[in-house]
Amino acid sequence: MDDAVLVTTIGATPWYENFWVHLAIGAVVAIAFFFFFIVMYIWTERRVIGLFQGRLGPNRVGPLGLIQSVADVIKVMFKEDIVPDKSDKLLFWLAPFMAFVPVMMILAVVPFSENFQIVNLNVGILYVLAVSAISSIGVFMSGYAGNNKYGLIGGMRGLAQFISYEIPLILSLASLVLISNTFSVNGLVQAQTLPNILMMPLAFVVYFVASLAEISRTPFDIVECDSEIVAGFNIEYSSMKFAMLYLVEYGEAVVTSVLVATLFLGGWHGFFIDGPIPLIIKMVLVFLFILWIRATLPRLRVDQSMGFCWKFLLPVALVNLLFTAARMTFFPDLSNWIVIPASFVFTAIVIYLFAGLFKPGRKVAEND
Amino acid sequence: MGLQIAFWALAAILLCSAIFAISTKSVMRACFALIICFLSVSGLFITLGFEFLAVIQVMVYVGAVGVLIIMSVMMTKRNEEGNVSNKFKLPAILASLCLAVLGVFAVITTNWPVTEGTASNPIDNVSAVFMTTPGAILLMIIAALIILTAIVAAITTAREE
Repeated sequence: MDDAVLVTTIGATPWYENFWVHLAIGAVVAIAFFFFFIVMYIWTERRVIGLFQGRLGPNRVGPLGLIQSVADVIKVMFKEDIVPDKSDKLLFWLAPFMAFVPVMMILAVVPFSENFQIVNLNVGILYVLAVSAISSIGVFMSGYAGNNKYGLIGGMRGLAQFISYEIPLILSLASLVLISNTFSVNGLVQAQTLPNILMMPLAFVVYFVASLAEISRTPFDIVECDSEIVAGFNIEYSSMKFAMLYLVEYGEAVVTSVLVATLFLGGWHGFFIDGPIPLIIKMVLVFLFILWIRATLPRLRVDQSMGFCWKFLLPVALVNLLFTAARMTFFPDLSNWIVIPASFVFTAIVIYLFAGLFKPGRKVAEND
Repeated sequence: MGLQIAFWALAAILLCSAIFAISTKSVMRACFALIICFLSVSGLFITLGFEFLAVIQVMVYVGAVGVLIIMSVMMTKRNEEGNVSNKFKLPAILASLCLAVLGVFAVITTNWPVTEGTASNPIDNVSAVFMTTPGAILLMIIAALIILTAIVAAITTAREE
């Protein structure tokens, strides 16, 4: 099989005529996008959390403190690189790459506009799920390799949380695939004449909560829970390796907000123009929403986090899949004027019913 | 040409990580080497044009089996010095020799069918097979029921009361 056949097989839509030129330009754009938004997200998070907590946040370096993250990166790069004596040196060196690279790889299937996407894989959604699994193993590897018990506990928590929350995540994406009838990410965007959040609010809730847990943001940040395991998996890391693990967290935030915007908020569809600008506006809004959650909610305990997944999110995801399948089978041509209000009412009812079944912390009160 | 290079590079990584997985003393290193092994197998699938299989390989073997192995290693007691009570060296050598001979024999004697032309869109093929073949939907439903039973059983086992 030669290269031209590969191009048709993986479904690449060459935006530029030569596939390799297209690949090179796409990779450069995606990597620039990734790093730019990581830096901007770090700045946004510090400023917005400052706003929520009634303080200023970084405001000295550059206008509005905009290049504070750049200054931080330079500082971190000049720190001494300490490798613990009893650590597993090979894994210690390998882990940041294993955690970092897959996060960036996800952007390969994200469509920035109708015609600009690095590869239009026909198994795009499955690719996203598969690649994010590699990253979780990298995070565990960094927790293990430092030979520190806090790091190990953090890594194990991350891994356990990841494989638990992957199930509701996949189930909610299955309902999405059921409606849009394609696995390709660009196909999913093209199918959204109305954003999926209106058609399937329940799937959006499940996907959003599960992906918050997968990237271990508050309220699911038991991986790096400062008060219990002093920042968890990256505890033994310093210098550039620490910076990479730190970038993993924000890279995951970038990728998750892009994916939520793409899968549920209509991607590159916009009110007035299509293309990357609506996508970027949507992803920043999603990230601000994540920050709002972080500033509002306290952290769940380990058992509460697991219980929330298995006792609440999984049944809700199954019910959502069941009802979506039933709707697609029996009422495939229902008018949107009926579907949208009905799905919002349905979402409210299901969440109310299942929330009654799961009350975090009740068992502890009984034991006391 | 690029695919040839990728194929042989991935094959080399596959062999090296497999040898590393069975020769290293540390159990965790063996785990991670095995995971790299799985990853390079999925890369081989991509170079052969089976990207659906490759993605499923990563999802199942890296995301599920690899994590399961890590979990089970972490649940067992500290055994970083390798296998302490291994008295099965001779049977193991014999068994693996037999397996190797059988495998090589099977590969050499089989008449591999070669089809002309290029592979069509694999994901369409998968869904077409599931939607049109009689009985395939039933198999899907049975598999789903088995998974549901397993989930319920796991939750029941893990309950404390």
